[in-house]
Amino acid sequence: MRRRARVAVIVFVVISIFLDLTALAEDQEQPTIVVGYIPLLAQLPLVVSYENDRVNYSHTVVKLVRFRSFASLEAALRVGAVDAADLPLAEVLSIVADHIPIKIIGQYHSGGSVFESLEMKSVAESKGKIIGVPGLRSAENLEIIRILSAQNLRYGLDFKTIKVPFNTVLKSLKAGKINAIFFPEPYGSIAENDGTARQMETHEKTPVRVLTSVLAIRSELLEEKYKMALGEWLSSLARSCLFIEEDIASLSARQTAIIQEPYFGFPRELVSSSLVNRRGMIRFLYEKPDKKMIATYQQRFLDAKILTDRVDIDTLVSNANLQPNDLSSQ
Amino acid sequence: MRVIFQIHMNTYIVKGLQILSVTVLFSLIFSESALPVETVLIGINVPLTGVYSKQGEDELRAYKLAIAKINKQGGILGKKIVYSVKDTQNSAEETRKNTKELIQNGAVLITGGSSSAEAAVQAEECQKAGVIFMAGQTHANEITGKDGHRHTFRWYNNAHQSAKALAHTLIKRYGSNARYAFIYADYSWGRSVLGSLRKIVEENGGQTILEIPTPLGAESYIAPLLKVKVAEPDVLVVIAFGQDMVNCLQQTTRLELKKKMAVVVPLMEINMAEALGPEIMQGVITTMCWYHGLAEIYPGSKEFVDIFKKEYSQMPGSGAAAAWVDILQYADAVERAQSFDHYQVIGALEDHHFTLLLGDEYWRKWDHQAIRPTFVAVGKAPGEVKDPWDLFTITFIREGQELARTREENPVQLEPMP
Repeated sequence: MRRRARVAVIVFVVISIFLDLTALAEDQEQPTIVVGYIPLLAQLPLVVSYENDRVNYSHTVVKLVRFRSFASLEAALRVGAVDAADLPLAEVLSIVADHIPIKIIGQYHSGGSVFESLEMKSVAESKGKIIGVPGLRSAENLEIIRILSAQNLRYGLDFKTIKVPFNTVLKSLKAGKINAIFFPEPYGSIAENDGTARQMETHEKTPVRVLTSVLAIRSELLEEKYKMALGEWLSSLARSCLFIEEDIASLSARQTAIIQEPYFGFPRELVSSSLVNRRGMIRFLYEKPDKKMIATYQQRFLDAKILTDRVDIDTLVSNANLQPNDLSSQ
Repeated sequence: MRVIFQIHMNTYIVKGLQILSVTVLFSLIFSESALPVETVLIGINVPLTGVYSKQGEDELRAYKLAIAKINKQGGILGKKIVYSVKDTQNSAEETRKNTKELIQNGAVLITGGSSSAEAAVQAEECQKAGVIFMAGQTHANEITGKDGHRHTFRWYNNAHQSAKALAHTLIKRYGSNARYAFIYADYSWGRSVLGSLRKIVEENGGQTILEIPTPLGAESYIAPLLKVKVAEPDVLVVIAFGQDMVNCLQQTTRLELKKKMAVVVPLMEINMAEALGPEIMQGVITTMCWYHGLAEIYPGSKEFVDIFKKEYSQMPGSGAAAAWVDILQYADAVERAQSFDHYQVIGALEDHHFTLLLGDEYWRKWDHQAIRPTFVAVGKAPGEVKDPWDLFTITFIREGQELARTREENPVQLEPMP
C-alpha cells in the first residue's frame, strides 16, 4: 500500500514537472521585447501600439516599463534592463560613445515640445532668464540655444538652461525658480490649464522640424533570432502612428486620450486638446533614421559642448536599414 | 484603415502600401479637419490576464471590429463610438471596480466578461447606475435568472439550454442507465452547469457516481482524474472553461481516460479547442452557442467570420460572436429608440426580433435572455480536419424555444420599468 502511494507520488511529480517544462517551452517560443517609456505625448505610439496589438502578437511578447526621467531610461538601456526606448538623440550618442552596443532603428514622431512662461511674452525677453528643460542633452535644450541665438542671446551668458525633472517642473515654474520652460507635451498644456504659464512667441518665420528623440534598441535585437519579433513590434508601432493621426482627424484624438490614461495618467481632455491643436507641431509617422539629420544634430551638440565625443553615424544607425516592412530584404 | 506589414510581403506591395500610408497621413495632417466630433463611450470589461484571457482577447477583437463598422457607418445617432478597455483579471472584485470606473467616465454601455462571476457584478453595478449591460461570454443560468436585472441582456446561451441540448445526444449514445462523473469549476458557472446537467441526466435515468469540485485556475487535474479513473464511469463530464479546460483535457488524454470512457465538455469555445488540436478534441461531445462553421449556413455569420479572419488571420470564437452581436444590437436599439436613454433602449430591445449571426432570434422580455439555437457538436478526428480551426462537426441543432426555461423554471422578476 505504502509502495503504491510512493509510486503515485513519483508519477504525480514527474507529470507535474513535465507539464511545467511544457509550459516553460511554450513561453520561450516568443522573445520578449522590454520597452521603456516616459509619459509624454511624443511617446504615445509605444502605448497605443501595445494596447491595440498586444493580443495579436504571434512572434513576440512586449513588456512596457514606465520611467520617470530620460536619465533613468537611458541608464536602463545602457545596462540592458530595457531592449528599446525612445530617447533624446544626444543621450543615445553618449551611450554609443561609451561603446555600448546600441542602434538607432527609426523615429516615429517629430515635434511636441512648447516654450511656456507666465512672465515672458516672447523669447526676445529671455535675457538673464533661467529656462527649464527636461535634460541638458535633450533636443529641447539644443532648440532653445538655436532659437535664442537667432535673437543674439548667448547660451550661458545671456540666458541659462537647467534640467528640471518632469515631476517638479510645474512646481518650479509656479515658485518662480525658473522663468520659462521648453518641455515636451503635455507639460506646457498642464501649465496653461492651471494658469502657471502661456505659450511664448518664438519669432520663427518658418517653424523648424525638431528631431526630439529617436528609437534606439540594443544591437542584439538585430540578430536573426529576434528578426520576426522585432519586425512584428515595429509594424505595430508604424500602425499605431497611423491610428493616432486618424484618431486626431476623425475623433478629436479622444480614443488615444482614453488609451493613454492607464499608462500616462493625463486627463483625457488635455491630451485630446494638445493633439488636436498640434502643440509643438507634433506629428506621428514611422520613418527610417534620417542619417543626415542625425549628423547635423550631432554637430550642433558638439558645437554647444553638450557632447564631447563624435560617434560614427554609419555605425550608430542600423546598417540593416531596418524598417518594419523591410525586414525581409535584409 | 489598418496597414499590415507582412514580413515576407512582396516588395512592390510593400512600397505601394508605404506610399499609401504616407499619402493618407499627410492628407490627415494637412487637411483642416479636427472639427469637434460628438462621441459616446462604451466600456469594455474583459479578462486580458488569467485563465480566461484567450477568451477575453477574442472578445476584444470582435468589439473593436463591431465599433469600427458602426463608426464607418457614421456612428450611433451621429455620434462616433470611443471605447475604454479594462482588464477584469478574472476577478469579480476587479470587474466591479472597473465597472464603477467606466460608469463614472460616462459609459452609455458596459459590455464584456468571460465568466459568470464577472457578469453578475457588472449586471449589479449597471442596474444601480441605470446603464445598459450587454453580457459577453457568460453561461450560468443565474445571469438571466436569479441575478437577472432590467438593464442586463444576454445573447450567449445558458447552462439550462446547453444541458437540454445535450440530453438527447447523451441518452442516444450512452443509454439511459449510464454512469456519470463530473469534474466542475467550483464557482457560480460551474455549479450552475453541474446543476442543470445532473438534473437532465438523472431525470433520464442516468446515475451520478462522482462529483469533484476544482478551483478556478487549477493547473493540475491529475488528482481528480485519478479518482475518475478508479470510479470507471461511462461518461466523464468536464465543466471547465478557458485554460482550465485546456489543462484538464490535456491531462485526461495523458492518462488515457478517453479509451475507457466518453468525454463531454458542456461548453466549448474554439480558442480552447484550437489550443488542444484534433488529437485531443476528437470524439469530445460538446455544445456551443455559435461556431465559425455556421458561416456556411448563415450570411450574417459569413460576414462576421470574413471580417474577423481578414483582420486577425484566425477564426472568431463564440465569445467574439457575442461581442459582435452585443455592440451591433445595442447600436440598432439606440437607433430605433432615437435616444440613448437607458429605459428607451431597454424598451427597444425587449421582445425585439433580429437576424444577425443566425436566423431569427429575439431578446425575451421577461428575462432578457436571447432565444436562439444551441449547437451540439462532436470533435473531428485528425484525418477529418481541413485546417487547425476545423475541429467540430455540428451534429444537432436545438431551437431556442425548445431549450429556453419556462416561467416556472425561471421565476426571475426584473425590476419594473418606470
